[in-house]
Amino acid sequence: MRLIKTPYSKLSDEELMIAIINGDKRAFDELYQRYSGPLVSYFFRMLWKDREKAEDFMHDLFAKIVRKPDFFDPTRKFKTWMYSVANNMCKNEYKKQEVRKNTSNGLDSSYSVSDVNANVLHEVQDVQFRSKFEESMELLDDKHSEAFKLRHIDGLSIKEIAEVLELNEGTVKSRLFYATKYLATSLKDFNPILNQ
Amino acid sequence: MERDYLDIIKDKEFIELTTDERSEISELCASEDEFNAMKAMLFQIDGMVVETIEPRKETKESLDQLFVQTHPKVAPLWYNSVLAVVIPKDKPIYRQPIMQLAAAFLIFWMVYPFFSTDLANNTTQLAQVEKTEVEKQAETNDELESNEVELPTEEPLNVAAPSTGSSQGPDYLVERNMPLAPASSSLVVDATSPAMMDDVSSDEFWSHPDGVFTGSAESTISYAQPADETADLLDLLTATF
Repeated sequence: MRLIKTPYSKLSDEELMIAIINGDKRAFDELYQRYSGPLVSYFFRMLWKDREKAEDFMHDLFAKIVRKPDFFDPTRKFKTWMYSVANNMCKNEYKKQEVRKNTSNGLDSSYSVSDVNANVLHEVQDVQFRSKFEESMELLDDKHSEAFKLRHIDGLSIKEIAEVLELNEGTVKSRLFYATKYLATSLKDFNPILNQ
Repeated sequence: MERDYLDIIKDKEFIELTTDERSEISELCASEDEFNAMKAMLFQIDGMVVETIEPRKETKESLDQLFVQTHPKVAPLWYNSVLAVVIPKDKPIYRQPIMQLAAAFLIFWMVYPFFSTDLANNTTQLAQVEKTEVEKQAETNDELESNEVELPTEEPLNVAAPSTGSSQGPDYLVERNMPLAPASSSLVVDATSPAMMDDVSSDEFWSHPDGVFTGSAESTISYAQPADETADLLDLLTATF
């Protein structure tokens, strides 16, 4: 028997979820601290860089966790489950907004993000690289860019991306492969090695 | 996390690649230059400042309220947590801390007398007790001597039993040292007793014109004891009647 309780920061996501099911508020605080930022960023990227909408969606996702924590299957990895839920929420939003007509995964490729990009670009050091990267990602097919962002920005593994997007790992690898090759080509001008 | 081809590109040099790894990335970067270019691009993307959005405080406060409503908190009682630790319900009784503590205390209580007994100390203690008793006896004797009232040497009280005419024969004498009677006993001063006459100073005896004794009764009196207080004496007396 443990006399001293393990700090919440050292508990895994799955252990925190079990604690939340038992009504542990501090476990919820810890989980919120871990994932609120990444989730807002995820929704922000996925929902046309709308800050208010991203905040609302993040709130709704955590509200689901609070109301129905037992929906989570402890045998699954929490991070994957959470991104799956987030992804499904985005899909529902796409349907609601009827912006999926001409896209394969819900994002309108002609949607302009230039205003927001302008604000973001002020904060980065390599403005040109970022601009070109964003531009390339916009030009990239959504299904490929989504896989690439989940891998490089959200830090999910191929297996986790496959679970989130409900695809097999081979498809995810193929999409990632394509996206990487496309970006390598489009960002060739910024490559220090090739420019030597 | 599982390593995929992107991790391989980022973590390894081209010359370190195994045959399988080279075949895996051959479509992506066939030559060493392409491999290094790909590696640089991936590091540039990773190093790019990712836009991080901090959620608003209002969102958290709203979720906190929702949590409190959904999970009404039971009033925390300190003894609940103590009991949960000492008597956990999910453990068998022999693994509960309170039972383990009780067993340890019981064993200690049973074993302790064996370790606390010291024969050498007991011997010493016995000698001291003897010494104390001897000393006490000596002290008692000293006290008795110091407090001893110089009582007159009592002559044995000659009680002349009346002649009963029995077959016992002629009159017999019973000599008894009469003990001091309680204060309630009747005081009899036998002024004519020769023994008293010898011991009491003449001044005390004859200072009263009527010959009443005026001295200290404690030193000179003798007490007559009721016969019923001394059963054996009563038996002797009743036998005579």
